[in-house]
Amino acid sequence: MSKNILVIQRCAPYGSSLAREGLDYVLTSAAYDQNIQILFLGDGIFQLLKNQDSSDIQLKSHLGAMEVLPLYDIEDLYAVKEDIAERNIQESALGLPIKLISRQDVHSLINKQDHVMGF
Amino acid sequence: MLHLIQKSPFQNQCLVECLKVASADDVFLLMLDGVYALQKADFLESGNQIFVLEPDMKARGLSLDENTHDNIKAIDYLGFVKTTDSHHKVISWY
Repeated sequence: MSKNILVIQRCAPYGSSLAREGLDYVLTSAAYDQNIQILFLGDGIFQLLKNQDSSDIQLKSHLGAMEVLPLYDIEDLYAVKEDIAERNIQESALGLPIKLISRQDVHSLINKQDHVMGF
Repeated sequence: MLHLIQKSPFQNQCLVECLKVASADDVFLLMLDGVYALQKADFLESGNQIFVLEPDMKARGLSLDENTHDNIKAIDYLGFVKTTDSHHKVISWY
């Protein structure tokens, strides 16, 4: 049975394995036909920065791994515009198409879901 | 004195705690998620000498192109070793 699941990605990539584990959860759930939406909250927005080149730290590119999301029909990616502004990030610096919402919309986005998973 | 900043200043208080006790001639080295301090304009404008570990910066898709402050310099792992070796006191903040 298909459920609406929101995955909240709150961590930057590489510094811990949480971003990667969140993505693994997303791809696994999508393989079981769940409706997945992702909210990049706080430092989670750093996962989407273009030009990630992690070859010198011997890790796979996190953005490269996320580029499969459209193949899994995961196209509802959200970020909070206040978070982006605080981190001095231009929208053009993001490597995947993102729906920008305001901080006050986060609560209703979470409320709409059947389940929420935080990483 | 050399301060190794290892956590994102947007999600962790370690840079704030460090700046409370640091002085104007202290040197900062941004590494791991600490490289996100590059997105903090007020920190960069402090005038302190700041080094950034380039492999960690590159991995996260950041660069120094837009930051033209001449107090900031990218270093490689060898530069990291040399920088820590040249300071009598080294403090890790994480």
